[in-house]
Amino acid sequence: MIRHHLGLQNASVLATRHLLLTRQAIADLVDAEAMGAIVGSAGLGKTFAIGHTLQERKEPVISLTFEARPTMRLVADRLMHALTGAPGKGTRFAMTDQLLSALSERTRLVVIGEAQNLNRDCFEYLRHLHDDPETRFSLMFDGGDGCWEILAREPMLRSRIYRRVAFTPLTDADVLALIPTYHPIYTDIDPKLLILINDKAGNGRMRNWAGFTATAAGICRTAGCDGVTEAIARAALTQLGTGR
Amino acid sequence: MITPFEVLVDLDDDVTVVREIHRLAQRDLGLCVATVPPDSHLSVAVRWAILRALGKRSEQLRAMPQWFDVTRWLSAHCVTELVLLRAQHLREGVLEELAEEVVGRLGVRVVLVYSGANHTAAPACPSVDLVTLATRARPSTPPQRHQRPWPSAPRVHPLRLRHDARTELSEREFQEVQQLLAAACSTMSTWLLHHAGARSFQIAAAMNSPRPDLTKITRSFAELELTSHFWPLESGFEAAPGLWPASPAISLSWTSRSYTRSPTRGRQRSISPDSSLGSPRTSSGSLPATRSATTRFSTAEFPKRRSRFCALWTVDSARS
Repeated sequence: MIRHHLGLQNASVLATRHLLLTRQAIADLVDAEAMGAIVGSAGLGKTFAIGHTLQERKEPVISLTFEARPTMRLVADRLMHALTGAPGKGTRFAMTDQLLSALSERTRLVVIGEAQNLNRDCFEYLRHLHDDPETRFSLMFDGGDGCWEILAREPMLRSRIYRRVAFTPLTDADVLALIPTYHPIYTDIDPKLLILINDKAGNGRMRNWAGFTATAAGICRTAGCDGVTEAIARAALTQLGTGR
Repeated sequence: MITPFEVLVDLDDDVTVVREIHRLAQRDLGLCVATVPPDSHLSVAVRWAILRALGKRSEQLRAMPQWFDVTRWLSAHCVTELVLLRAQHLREGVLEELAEEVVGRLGVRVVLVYSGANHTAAPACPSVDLVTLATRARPSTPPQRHQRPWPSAPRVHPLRLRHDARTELSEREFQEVQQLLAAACSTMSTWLLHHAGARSFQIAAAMNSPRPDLTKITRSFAELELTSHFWPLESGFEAAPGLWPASPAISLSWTSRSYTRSPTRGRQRSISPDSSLGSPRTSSGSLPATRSATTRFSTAEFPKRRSRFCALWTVDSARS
């Protein structure tokens, strides 16, 4: 079971448009053994949507996240370790050969988190592994700010991206339609109050909504309330430092 | 100026171009497609890539592949055309090696595929498009001579190879064997000419050297000793004048041990590149560099060891 941000209890998974698109994109990528990208700013729920979708899939998944500006050697080494459980041996050329063999064994999905941290050489290296006619893996880039700009700048990647999901913040209409089902404290909430919370704290970002909800749920428990009132909302906003 | 390559520019870096070229390689046996890995400063990366495209795996290699590994496997697979994808990663020095080793030595046509905006790095060579590449006539089956089995021969001994070739092959095919042995002699002569006055321990060290660039010399040296001292060649062999003074330094214990094996053991059906690279597991008929090659002996022992060798030769000939 995937964990909500901050370990939020009793929260449900919202069937947002982006979550549904992510589910479809991953299914298509795995079927076609193709390359795809899930992009958008931080806090929009990309990683949650991917994690939630992957727990429904049966294919082996390799998830890797790299710090800023990794080398090709590091990418090869981490991938080899994730595939075999042992660090790579020999030169990078020998390791590449071993990687190609390992990636040819069965269908897999490789997810590269924070893909905006990769440089051109690393993208080219992953493309090299993916283009080999023997390898059988889908490759998905999960990236935040600037990721799509980097991917789109490289023709070698842009022409190979089969599915792309660009996460955007929830609109007011999305908030009104979805948030009342997100947590029991929103069941009978006033729609105007929801919009106020979204303006002050949520900003259409699921990570912000999780933070507000965890805070408001704590206040509700202390106050013995079942749902969010304006007073509880303002108290929560004050605790989050966004109230005025 | 002769331009050794052809260049195909894929400006859009389109994955469909790559797929189409791979599809061609599946259709045409003489076409091999290899992808140059990124950051290939060294030619070894290109050698790995070509060997991988031919189905060889690094796990089966004992050392870094050399160009002769690549050329003999290209020959063994009857490759007449090599397409290198992502050629923008190739450096000038590597291109020169490719021109010399693959184009010059084997006569294989090499097509460099430059993808994306990096095509400006392409050398000034004739360009080719995908349609031309796809419609170009290529042999659908390997040349016939590679399919015919050569005679069985102990994998270790060129004398056996020559003997069986004489009895079982046509005159034309036997001449091919002769040429192989002549090439070994020639290599050996060159080595000796460059090492005039070499002492026995130096020659023994050269024969037993772990350096891959000396492997050919080691083998050639051993072959020459066997073929020139104990089994006079009829024609086509020109031993270098500097050869003979150094000859007694060769270890005969190496020779006798090779010949104490049953000639049926370790036989291979055909002659092709070394088995260390994986299937096809066949032998080139060349001699392995054994540790006993370092054994030193006095030149006074030469006649005695020669008699021992002749006796073993007789026994083995009778068995076969």
